[in-house]
Amino acid sequence: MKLSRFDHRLIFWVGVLLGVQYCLGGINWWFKIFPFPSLSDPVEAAGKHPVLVEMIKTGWMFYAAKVIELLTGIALLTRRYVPLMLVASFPVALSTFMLDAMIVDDLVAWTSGQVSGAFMWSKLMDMIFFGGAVLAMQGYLMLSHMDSYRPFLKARESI
Amino acid sequence: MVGETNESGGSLALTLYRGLGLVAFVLGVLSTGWLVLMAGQWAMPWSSLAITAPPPGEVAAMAPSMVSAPVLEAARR
Repeated sequence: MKLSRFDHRLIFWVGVLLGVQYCLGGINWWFKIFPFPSLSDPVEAAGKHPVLVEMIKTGWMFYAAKVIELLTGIALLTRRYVPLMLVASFPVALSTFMLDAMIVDDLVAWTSGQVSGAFMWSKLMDMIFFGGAVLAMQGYLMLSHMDSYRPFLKARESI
Repeated sequence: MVGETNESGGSLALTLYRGLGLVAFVLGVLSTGWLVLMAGQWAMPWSSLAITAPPPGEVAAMAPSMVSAPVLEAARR
């Protein structure tokens, strides 16, 4: 399939948007700019997902995720090593989405009247606009770089 | 991009690919814009964080995924 000028522009801008998000998300771990988990926060601050707390407690796992986010952001904004960094950051993007998408407990709490409709709506929006947006951009860019990945898709090893 | 296929299959794949690209772009613009607004905390009162942030003393009544297990435990004691 031949990509049009429109496709190339779309790839460029989606790359810029994802690059900005990854850079800001990565930097926020060391220099708090958003009200999201940061090195300066107490490890067990209320509102943090239990999985994040455990990752931070390992002393390296959350750092590693943030380093990967930052490197991917730099790669996307400088347009260097993009296919490699998209693969490296895919587990981070997928895990982020899965954490945002695990709303079954909240759904149960909402249907039984324990939490408000506004709370349930906010959880749904988090899933779509944070985890979902990153995963959609990541997936689109990886599809766009499929030519780079094709040699990895061999069923039989060649050596 | 996605490999060589026959003409109709190729055009369907291209349509789906472009659809995903447009969805990714729109969600990317909205979420990046929201992220930038959150940096200044201007959007904080309207954010999900304002809704999900546990009010002091009310942590124990929250849904399990809203708060880390140790905090929930401590609040319920």
